[in-house]
Amino acid sequence: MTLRLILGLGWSFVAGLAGGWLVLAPWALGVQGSGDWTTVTRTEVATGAGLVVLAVAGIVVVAVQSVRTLRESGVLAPSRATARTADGVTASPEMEKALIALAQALADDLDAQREPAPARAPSEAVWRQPS
Amino acid sequence: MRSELGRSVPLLILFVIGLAAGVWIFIAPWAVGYPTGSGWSPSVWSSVWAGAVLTVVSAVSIVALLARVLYVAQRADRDGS
Repeated sequence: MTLRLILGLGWSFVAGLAGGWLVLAPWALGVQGSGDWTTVTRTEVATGAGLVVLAVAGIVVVAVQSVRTLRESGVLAPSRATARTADGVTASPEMEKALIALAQALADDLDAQREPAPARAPSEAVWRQPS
Repeated sequence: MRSELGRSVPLLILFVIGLAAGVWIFIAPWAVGYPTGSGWSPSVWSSVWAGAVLTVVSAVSIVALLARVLYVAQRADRDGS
């Protein structure tokens, strides 16, 4: 992670500096006057703007990966969805409904398979009188 | 290993694009036809320097990142066997 962080941020820094310089160079060097942009100016501004966009993308990639790594190592609190799942709470109401329906079906199946109590003859005494 | 490779891919793509951009910035004065009088104009110098720096930094970053991925893969193989 550290190497990726250093490389990503270092490259983004250099690309951002180069892009910013290229955007400003025609005016900084006095090549571009007050009239229409020359071909040189258009090329340098377009290339420099692209480099700045790349530099921002590099910073975003490094930031996202850093936050993920810190969450995995426990330094940062996990995201809300991860925390709910880890606590044993289902992440979606659809899953909860499906589990309830499954439990109901299992209960009905068990009730249907339960053997009825054996019927007694009417003459059979349930208990005997002491003689 | 897969995690290391997967997390390196976005940066590798950025570095490769940066390498291509650096080469383009380097050759742009001749490709586009920057005006040159006697010797290189300030615009040509600026473009060449910016392109060279970006190319070198991108190439070094690619090599370093690939070396890291290969090192992690080799270590995982050694630990697994």
